[in-house]
Amino acid sequence: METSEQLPERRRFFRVEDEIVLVYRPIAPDDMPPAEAFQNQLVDHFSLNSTLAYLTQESQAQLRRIERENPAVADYLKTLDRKIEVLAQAVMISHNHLADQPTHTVNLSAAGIAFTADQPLAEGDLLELKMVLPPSLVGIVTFGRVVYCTRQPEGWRVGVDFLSMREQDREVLIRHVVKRQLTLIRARKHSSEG
Amino acid sequence: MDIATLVGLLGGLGIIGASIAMGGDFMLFVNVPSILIVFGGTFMVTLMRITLGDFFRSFGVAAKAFFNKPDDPAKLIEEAVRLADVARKNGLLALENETVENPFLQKGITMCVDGHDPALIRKMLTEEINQAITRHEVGQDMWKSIGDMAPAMGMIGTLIGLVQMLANMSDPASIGPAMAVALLTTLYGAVIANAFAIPLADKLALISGYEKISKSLIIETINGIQEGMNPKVLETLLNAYVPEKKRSAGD
Repeated sequence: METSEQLPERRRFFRVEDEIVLVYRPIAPDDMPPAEAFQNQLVDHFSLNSTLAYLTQESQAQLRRIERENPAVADYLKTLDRKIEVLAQAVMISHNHLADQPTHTVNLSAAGIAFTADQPLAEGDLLELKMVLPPSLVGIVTFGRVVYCTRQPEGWRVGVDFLSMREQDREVLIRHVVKRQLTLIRARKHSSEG
Repeated sequence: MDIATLVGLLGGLGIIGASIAMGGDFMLFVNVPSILIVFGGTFMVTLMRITLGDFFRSFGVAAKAFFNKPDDPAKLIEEAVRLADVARKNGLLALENETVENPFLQKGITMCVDGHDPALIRKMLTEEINQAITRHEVGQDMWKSIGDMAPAMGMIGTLIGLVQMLANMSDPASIGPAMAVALLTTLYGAVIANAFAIPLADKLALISGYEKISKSLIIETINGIQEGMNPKVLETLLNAYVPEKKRSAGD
């Protein structure tokens, strides 16, 4: 479990605006799983995609080696990888009823998230957050603490610091944020050129 | 500056020169017509094989063998890991403020910050590598060609000398000196080929190979940064390109 002492380090992660599926619920401190148990939890329907994404990254070096020695085999392995990804996405959509879930515009980083809520949340409240990141539909379950909640015309602006997250989920989240930033840079470039 | 090339060239020619000087009169080994046949003939025949532009460009490529400073793969990987870490923590735009020594890496980082598509960056940088390799290959081919041609021109010079000698057999005393002069062209051809042109072509091929590895590392680095790849994973990925002895300490 990360503590507040680690906040300055975690705040160093940059943030991006994004549109994601976000489901959250306040939890009691007793409902917070111990960090070790959380890190070692079994893969379920929701975390399947993030586990697969993490494993894909872990095997990049081997794949590149195969690609240099035998491009045809590497292409076939990539196709297999893509097939598994499609299956995992189908499982993710069907088991988690993603089609019914609303998307939220959030401000996201590897260390925290800010979003607009209908109801106010108290500073210090603990939340369980489930996020689905587009376009890969990677699902991440994490726990966080509300660090601010301010009134805004469209609702309540809530800032949450992540407290507990599986290492592989954090890895997937960092990669998602970097890719998202690249998309935003490109979009800005196209709009300025247009 | 590549000291090895300079030391090798001067050392090789020095040893040949010293052994000639030890054996007697050095000027015995200097003959202008023979020099013209071998040097002039070799260059002219080589010129037939390639274009005039490539011929002159090849001298510039040859300079790489003397002035090339190869990239240290371990240093490149270290820099790649640092940049990947910056991109993940502070964002891609933060890379703009980073000091990058390698011009090819700097070019890739600039493209990355400009938000170019990863596939497009890979394609453009790979194209640049291919063009550089083609330029180097033209240079290598010319020096290989000189290595092939010089002994042949030396042999032609020797045959010319022998014909002239055999046509003038009336003076037996002149046979020895004439034979010696005739053999000089073979010597010149062998020296040009084996003490200069062939080693130079081999050195250029070696430099080209190193350059290809380091530039491939850089392309992989840019790709990894745009993917938000974990620096440790990126390091493992990049080390796969490098021979085991030259790998970064982290691997």
